[in-house]
Amino acid sequence: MADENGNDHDPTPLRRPGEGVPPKPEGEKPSIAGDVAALAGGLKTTLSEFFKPVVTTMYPEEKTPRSERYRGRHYLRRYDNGLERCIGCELCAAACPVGCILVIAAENTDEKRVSPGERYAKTYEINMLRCIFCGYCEEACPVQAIVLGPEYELSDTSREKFIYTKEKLLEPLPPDVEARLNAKGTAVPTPAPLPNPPPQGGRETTP
Amino acid sequence: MAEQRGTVGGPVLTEWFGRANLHKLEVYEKLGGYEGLRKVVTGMSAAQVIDEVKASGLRGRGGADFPTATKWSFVPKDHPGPKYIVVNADESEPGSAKDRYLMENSPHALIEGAAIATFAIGGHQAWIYIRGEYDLPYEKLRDAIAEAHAKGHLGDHPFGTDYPLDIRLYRGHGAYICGEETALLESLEGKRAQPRSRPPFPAIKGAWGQPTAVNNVETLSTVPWIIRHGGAEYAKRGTEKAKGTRMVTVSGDVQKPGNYEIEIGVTYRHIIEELAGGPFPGRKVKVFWPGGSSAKVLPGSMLDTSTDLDGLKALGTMGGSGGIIVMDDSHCVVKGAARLLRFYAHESCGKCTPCRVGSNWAVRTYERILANEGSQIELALLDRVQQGLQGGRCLCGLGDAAGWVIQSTMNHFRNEYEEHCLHHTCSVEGALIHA
Amino acid sequence: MPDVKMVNVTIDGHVVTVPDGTLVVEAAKLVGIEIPVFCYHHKLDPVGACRMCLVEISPGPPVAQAGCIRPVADGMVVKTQSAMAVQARADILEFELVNHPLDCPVCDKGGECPLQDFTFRHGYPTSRIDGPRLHFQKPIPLSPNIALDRERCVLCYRCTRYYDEVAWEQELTVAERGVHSVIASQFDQPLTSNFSGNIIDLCPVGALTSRLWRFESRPWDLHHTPSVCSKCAVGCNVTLWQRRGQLVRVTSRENDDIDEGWICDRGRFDYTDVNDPARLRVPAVHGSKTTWAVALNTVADGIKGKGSKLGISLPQDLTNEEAFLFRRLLDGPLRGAKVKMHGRTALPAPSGEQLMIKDIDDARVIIIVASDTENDVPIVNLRVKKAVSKRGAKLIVIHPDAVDLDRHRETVHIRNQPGEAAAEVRKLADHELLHEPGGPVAILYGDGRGSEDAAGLVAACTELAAKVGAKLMPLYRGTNERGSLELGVAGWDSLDGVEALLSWGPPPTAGVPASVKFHAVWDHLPRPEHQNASVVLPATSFAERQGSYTNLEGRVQFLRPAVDAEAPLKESWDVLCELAAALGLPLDYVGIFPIQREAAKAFPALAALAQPPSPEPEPVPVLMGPARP
Repeated sequence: MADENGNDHDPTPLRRPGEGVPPKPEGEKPSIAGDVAALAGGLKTTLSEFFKPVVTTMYPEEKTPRSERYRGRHYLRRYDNGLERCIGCELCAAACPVGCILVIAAENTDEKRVSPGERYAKTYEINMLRCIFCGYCEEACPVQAIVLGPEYELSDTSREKFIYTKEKLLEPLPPDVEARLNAKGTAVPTPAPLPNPPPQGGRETTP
Repeated sequence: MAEQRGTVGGPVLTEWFGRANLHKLEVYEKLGGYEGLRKVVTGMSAAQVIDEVKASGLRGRGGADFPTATKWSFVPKDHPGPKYIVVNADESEPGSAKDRYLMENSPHALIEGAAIATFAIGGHQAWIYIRGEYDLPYEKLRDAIAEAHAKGHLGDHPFGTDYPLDIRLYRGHGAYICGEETALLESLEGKRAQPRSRPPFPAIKGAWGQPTAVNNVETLSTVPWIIRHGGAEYAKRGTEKAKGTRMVTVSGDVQKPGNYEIEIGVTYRHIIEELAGGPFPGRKVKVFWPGGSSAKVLPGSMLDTSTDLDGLKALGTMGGSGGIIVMDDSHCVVKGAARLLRFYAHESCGKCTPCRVGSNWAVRTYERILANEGSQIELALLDRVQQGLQGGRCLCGLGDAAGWVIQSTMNHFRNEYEEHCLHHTCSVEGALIHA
Repeated sequence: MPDVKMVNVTIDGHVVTVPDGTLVVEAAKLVGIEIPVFCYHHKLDPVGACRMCLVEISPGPPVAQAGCIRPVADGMVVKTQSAMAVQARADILEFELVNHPLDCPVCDKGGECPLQDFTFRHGYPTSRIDGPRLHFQKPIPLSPNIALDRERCVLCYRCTRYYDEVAWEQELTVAERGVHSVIASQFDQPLTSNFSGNIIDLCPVGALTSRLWRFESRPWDLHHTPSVCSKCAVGCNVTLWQRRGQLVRVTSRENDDIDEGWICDRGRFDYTDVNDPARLRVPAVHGSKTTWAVALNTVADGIKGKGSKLGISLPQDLTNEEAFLFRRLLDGPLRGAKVKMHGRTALPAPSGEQLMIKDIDDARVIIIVASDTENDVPIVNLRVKKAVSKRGAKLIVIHPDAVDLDRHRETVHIRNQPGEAAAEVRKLADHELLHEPGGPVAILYGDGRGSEDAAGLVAACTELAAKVGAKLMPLYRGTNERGSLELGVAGWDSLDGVEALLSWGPPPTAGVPASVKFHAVWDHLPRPEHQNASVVLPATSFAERQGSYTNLEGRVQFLRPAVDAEAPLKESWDVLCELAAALGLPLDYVGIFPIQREAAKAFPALAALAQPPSPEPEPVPVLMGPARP
């Protein structure tokens, strides 16, 4: 028998049978009284548990508290004036280690203004089956548009429903989470919408 | 106190100034004008002219201080196409007005000098690129050129010889950068005035791609005198290395601002206190620009500095275009520097990044300082910006000059900067600063 | 080749031997040392504006010097990593970023932006800029295809210099001065040049971006395929960029033998038909969708045995492989059919030694006869401009109308009566410029878009070439006109009176003849002319096609599919083989390579097909240009 290095090995086990095994302890002699006592001891433990407080959470009626930084399903946020924060830069998709985010961007126009700047996400999809909830997208986002909320109950009845579309992601965050995000100073001031596209031959506006 | 040298050998450029109607050809010629040009075209070779000027030790008076004869000798002798002399009469340096004075009073001296220079490089055409705002000098030069043509001193047969000489005037487009020689050439060609990269130098590839020597008005106005009296006579004036006389313009807080011809080597104290009458009573000279706004400032304590060009170079500054700006102790240096920076930012042509962005950045920083929003950050920023502007990082000297303004004022008057930035006060112009 | 003096330069300790006159930045590329540049471009004259390339050079003054305007000298020592040089470059980058909007997340250049890369590699790690930035209105539409963002601009002047030096246009300029300098189109009019798109590739930041590709995707999403442009006979090399089955942009791919890194606006912007949602994808017979087998059998039934009653309209951009299969059909079951190729000139197949595009550079006199080169062969037009303005060639144009080459003040423009170009060519033999040309003479001739008698013109040009020792270049218009001529399928027949019409590609320019009873269409887009077609077959577009083109100088180049031809779309060689089978000619090729091998054997002009280059994708192209002096 040769290993990957080509050396032959002695098939003999390194330890002989019984070698190094501690000797069996000298047991007490079996007796009926001893057996009953042992049984009672066990039942005592069981019975005492009946009178202790219950620690089981009655999920789904009851839920355990989660940390503030819990990473559940994603949300896309909006500014106070209703414009979407997302600018369609795809940095979340670039940061995503499993490639579960698809962003297709488009240009804002005066008729259809979706986000404050020039660019917005026309399509924003997350494949929740593939997502590993690492939160990198949240870290990569330059405008704090995508955040991972507290929800973790994402079961559904078909695979297609796990492709979260932009409409679904734009559902409002739970108010307490939104308030916490704003309090933490992650809220950037709402930029004033730019005229877009500007008139031909635009000149410098402010020094 | 250093040795005082007046114009002991007699004036050169302003020799005939004060005569009535010097700008008329007949007056100029009666005094001996156009003798130099006659001598040159009828009896000298181009090499002899260059040798004569070399013997005089004449150096360019536009600011770069480059030996004139050497510049002419760089123009290739055997070039098949045309060669040009371009006269840089785009005098835009703040504090400098000597060229205007020379052109208004003695336009024929410039024309004669330009014609001699054209002969010296073996060309037939000279261009005078005159600052667009100079109306009177333009008219004087225009009439003078017409007179010289009519008299036959210029044209196909100057003084009866077969060596055509022509001078044309070109009015500039009103930008400081047009005074930079390569930008001037671009502007002369009808393009956007932006400096060219060197090499190739204008002496090899200048106006319209032809060999070109670009000379300052004062330099060329000196040449006829040198030809008339000989280079050796001119070389007697001045110091060992910087020979001759030069024009200076004194402006600012002095009693008698104006243009003065000095012998190189006199001290600034002589110019400012004796020629220009010194500061107003009860005031002291606090700071002065020794050679136009582009030169690094010197504090009043250095008034005894000689105008010797090499001495100035050793101090890190320069004689430049001869514009001496004097500021007395009633003025705040920070405000002065901010004003100059605004000029440089406004006049930056926009080609090289450091000058384009850096000067504007400095202006914005100065504005914050003068609005009492300064701090240690602004001090450090100015320091950074001036470093980024200097060190030959731009194609022309404009970027360096902007950096020098910041650097030299901060160097000599750091206390005022610190007052402004850290304490938001100005001990010079009162506690309240109005930007 | 004149002897070029070689000099030794030391760059960061590496000794490199380069020809005298090489610029420091180019010499550094040879040893793999990056000297960052914005304003410098290897195809434009050095200008030294951005000052990004500051290095320490000795012997020389102890200041950082611009490496992009400094030619090397023997014994020169260049230090790119000395403290002074490193600080100088970091300072410049800091200046560049003072007013930069830093909107990288929404900028189309983000991800392939030299300003980003250089900031990471050469800039200060932290920013000291906290003041307000300059703002300009943006984006400004420079043309329907190009958007200008002045805030992002670093004023490298590449675009204006390109317009000035290469394209000979005056549409783009710089307005204002100092920090307020902005790139502007003349009088704020939209750009109209056929060469405007190159400024997008030239722009080292996101100041000039394509409006067709605006916010379409980030560069890192894209898959790129090296291919060949299919819009004209020059055969410029291009890179096709694909995302999710869509062709999202076309950029140039520098080939110094042909395009020198420039492509025209047709090649760059004329691609949106590939992504058209209305694209034909399923075969249809009499308007109802069906299978390929049914459709092809219907076509075969309709065109079989028609002889000269069958008309075939060919697209200008059919590949050599398709032409070869078509030739087999024309020799076999479709013998006698009338063939008309789209967009071809009346010029015959070339004979004798040909002028190559790169030879135009060295010509001393260039004669262009009866061709509007700006629109017919745009990139050859740029070559001519380069030879004239940068290398001092003399130019003679014979054309009835004004052409854009007239912009050079020394262009000799001989205006002929339409149809009499040949007579003017004969007169040229005594032209003063041709007495002592002082070097090679190039004669480029077209057919005046049909106004000239092609045979007479060719004869006159050949005669003149023999007299003055010139080389000739026929200026074909059709993309693969030359290859089709060599394969004998580039017909020029009138389709009047045919009963059956197989219209491949766009419908015949003269319209569908009224006599047509059976009309089969093979096209990639629905068109009004398809209304009464008996059979409509979906065709691949240039982005889905593989094969080869022969460009106007006879060079065989391979195009590769950037977008998959997804079923039921079929590749055209496959369709042609099945059609042949339906017509009773068993063309049993299992792929395109056997076709190429067989075509290479049968036609010497296609010998290059025997060994197609490896289809391995090239590394991601550096839009700044290749590392080559």
